[in-house]
Amino acid sequence: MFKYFLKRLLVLIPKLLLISAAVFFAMELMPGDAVTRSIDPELLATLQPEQIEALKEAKGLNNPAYIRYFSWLAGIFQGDFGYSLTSGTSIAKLIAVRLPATLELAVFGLLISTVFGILLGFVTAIHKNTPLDYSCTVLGMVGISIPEFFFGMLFILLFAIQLQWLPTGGRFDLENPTFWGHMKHMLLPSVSLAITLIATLMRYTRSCMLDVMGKDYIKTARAKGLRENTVYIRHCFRNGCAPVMILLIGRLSMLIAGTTIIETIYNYPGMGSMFLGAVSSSDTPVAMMVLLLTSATTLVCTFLADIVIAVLDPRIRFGEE
Amino acid sequence: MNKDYILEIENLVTEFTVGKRIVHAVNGVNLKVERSKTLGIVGESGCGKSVTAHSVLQLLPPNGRIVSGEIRFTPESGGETQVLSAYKKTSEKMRSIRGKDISMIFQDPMTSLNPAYTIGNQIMENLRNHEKISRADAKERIIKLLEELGIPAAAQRFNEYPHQFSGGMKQRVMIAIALVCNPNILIADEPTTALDVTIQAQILSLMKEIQKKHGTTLMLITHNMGIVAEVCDNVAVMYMGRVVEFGTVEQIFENPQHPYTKALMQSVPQLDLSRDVELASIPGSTPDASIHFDHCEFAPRCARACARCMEGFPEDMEVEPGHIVRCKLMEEGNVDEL
Amino acid sequence: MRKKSSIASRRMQKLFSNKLAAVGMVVIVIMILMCACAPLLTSADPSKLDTAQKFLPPSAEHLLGTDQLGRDLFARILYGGRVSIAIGLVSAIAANMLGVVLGCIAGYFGGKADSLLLYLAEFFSCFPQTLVVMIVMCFLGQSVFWLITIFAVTGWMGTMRMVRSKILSLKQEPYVDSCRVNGIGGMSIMFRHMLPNALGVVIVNITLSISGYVLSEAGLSFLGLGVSPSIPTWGNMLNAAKNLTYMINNPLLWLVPGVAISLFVLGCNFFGDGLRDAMDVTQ
Repeated sequence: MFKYFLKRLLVLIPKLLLISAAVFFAMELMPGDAVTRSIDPELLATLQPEQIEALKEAKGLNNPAYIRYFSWLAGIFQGDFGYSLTSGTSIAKLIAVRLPATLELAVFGLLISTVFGILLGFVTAIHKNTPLDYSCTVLGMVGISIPEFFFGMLFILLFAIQLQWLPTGGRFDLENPTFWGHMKHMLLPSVSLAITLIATLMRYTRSCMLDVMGKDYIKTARAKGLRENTVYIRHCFRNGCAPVMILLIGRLSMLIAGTTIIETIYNYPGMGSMFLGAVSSSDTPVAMMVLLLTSATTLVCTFLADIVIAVLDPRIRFGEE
Repeated sequence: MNKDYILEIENLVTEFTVGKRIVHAVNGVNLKVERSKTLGIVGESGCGKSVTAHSVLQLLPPNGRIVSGEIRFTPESGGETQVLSAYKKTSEKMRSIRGKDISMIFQDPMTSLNPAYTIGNQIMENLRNHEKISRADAKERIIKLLEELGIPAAAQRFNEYPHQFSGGMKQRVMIAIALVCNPNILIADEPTTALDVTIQAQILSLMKEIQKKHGTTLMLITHNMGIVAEVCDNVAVMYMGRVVEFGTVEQIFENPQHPYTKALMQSVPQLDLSRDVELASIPGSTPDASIHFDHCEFAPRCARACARCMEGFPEDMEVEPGHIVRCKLMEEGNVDEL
Repeated sequence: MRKKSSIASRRMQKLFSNKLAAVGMVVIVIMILMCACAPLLTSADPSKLDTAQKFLPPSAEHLLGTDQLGRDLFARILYGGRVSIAIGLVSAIAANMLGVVLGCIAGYFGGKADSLLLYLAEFFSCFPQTLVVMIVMCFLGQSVFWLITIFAVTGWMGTMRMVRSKILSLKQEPYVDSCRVNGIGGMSIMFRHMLPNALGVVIVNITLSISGYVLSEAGLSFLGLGVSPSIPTWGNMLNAAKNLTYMINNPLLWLVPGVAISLFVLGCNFFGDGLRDAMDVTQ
């Protein structure tokens, strides 16, 4: 198990290097020069041209690209993400402000969708070919097909404008800075975010459960006189859940910037709206840094998925040693 | 004549819904299982022997159900009788019998164990489901049982996963799951079909040994006449969802009456058979189970069929004590002529 | 040959006995026909501005009313559908073609080519498609051509993996050996004898990716990063209507394109799902 773990971890390193290199060289090719990108603009404003030249030399900005890549990478590991072209703020600071908001939204959305998606998948698999199953299947398809921004707009119109139950957007309520006030802002965005994932998870869980239900060891479990729910949870789901887990882990990269559209509709101050702002104003460093973070998260997620599969399946857990 | 039956099956009808068709897999089976004896159920594939066994425990898939008939279970000699067919599939009563009073082992040990749990865990699951016993005590008892079942280094293998076992060893584990609660009846659904020939013999002798030791009633489902001759006390021959002949192993092997049984016997290769004698085969194949007959189901393939065979169903006839045949030809009473 | 046609007819039978798939197909066919025949259905010009006629309610002249710039909504939906559906269709075909070719190469040649392509696919999958498309669209300019190109370049990995594994399993089939024994060349075996057997999964995949790309286009245009706003597409119509005042006062402006997108995607998904089930008939 440890050897497997280590092997998977080592494979990660060249991939991370490759991704960061791709991001770095893409940034080099794009408009905007290295000086404004990597030197604090407040400092830059006070300097004379000769001093800038000296600073460039000192920071190694005149070196060939591959050397600059490694020093850039080293900078990232020390938390130096560079500076925004439009606002001049350090990107690390920007992210520190925006990331918690998106994390909050995405974690909440993921929780809702995991609970409801798996539950619905469970129920539809157990009641296969009943009216309940058919209607859930059709509704699931509808959930996958309707774009999330359309749901978002419908929700705003219905719950925020017509019924006035919930706010139309934003993250905090200055008049009502309580937990519930906060939750009110979270509810619509996270539900809009969750709908597609609920539908996807339901379909996955259902087909995985059905795959396993026909297996002989399910009959063995029934022959032991176990309760139906024990059979479904301990035997069916335990063996069929791997693809569902992988799907869920794959969606973890959503935590970083997968919520752009929802954040835009609800005016939510997260990473997604920051990314959108950066892209629309050609603020390359910010956009590329968000891309790098998301890609790195995706990569780490594949590693996590490998580990989860190994934990779930003793054949892999013991096979590799 | 008043024998001690642990399990009686009367007029059992089990049907499956396949698409829009209804298939009668078991079509009025009558069976009596003697306590502490071994009953063999033989027949071609698709004759309903496996469905009969699954009906006893109501382990039918969602599209299958018992339509009529009665299954009576008398756990103790002279004791109370329970009607199993009256219980609902997933009821508390039915579940308390499964794995405890009546257990079952299946054809393919390779796929019958859950790959995600250790074998110790899976045996323990059955034990602790039915008995209040501490984990430590349960483990001790299971290891003892595994040793008894011929699994070497049982204490160590207790914590291993199914993929670390060979096919024969997996079947021993399946037997351990079935036996851990000391059941009254062990139903074995083709327990050796998926195993190597050498392993088959080991598993069979193991099951015989267990039966002798614990007095367990054994229901052995097989299509292998050799196994029947070796292991069983009584034999039921099934065809198209009905028992066509029932008797002791001697009666069936030495004095088979039903034309189908006779044909089955002739299709078994024997060592003393001379090489130029051709093995008999039964012409045609088992008809589609969704076809409804209004006469003897075997008649179309029967070498001795006559006009009478096409008119109505034959009755069960007791041709000698304990030897029941379901054939029109028997109704004439001229058994020996045939 | 007779066998093949019987499998094909069984598939057709299964496909049409699936009511949802049939409904899905009818919906997409009707929508495509309506968009294709747009000039016959309306005489209005989708881009003609007329500030005197803005926010008109539905009438005989303007079936769905007009938008904030006085453009006929019904005409915009039809002409916008042309662009949206075309983007979805062409992107799906392009991405899948790329996947098929690379998958064939990886599966058939194996070895180094295979591992390189697999690694490449994994590398591409690390980048979230939406973010990459947004960045690239921003720097290359918002044109239909670039949008389709980016969709294809970032969307081939799934098809490639599927085709690759299908080809790998087909390689084990005896008929491929017999082709080789009979002296048929590698390319010919691959494209004439193996690929047709892998085509089923590709067709299913194309159907399902059309819906995916129509959704992506809509999402990007909604954010103002898709096709240039001067071209009517369903997404651009939503983008123009996302303002809160329009949302409340002129719900038709966003409801109509939203429903159009949802219906089309739903149709594609139902049809694709039914198609996938129908492909299982061979077993």
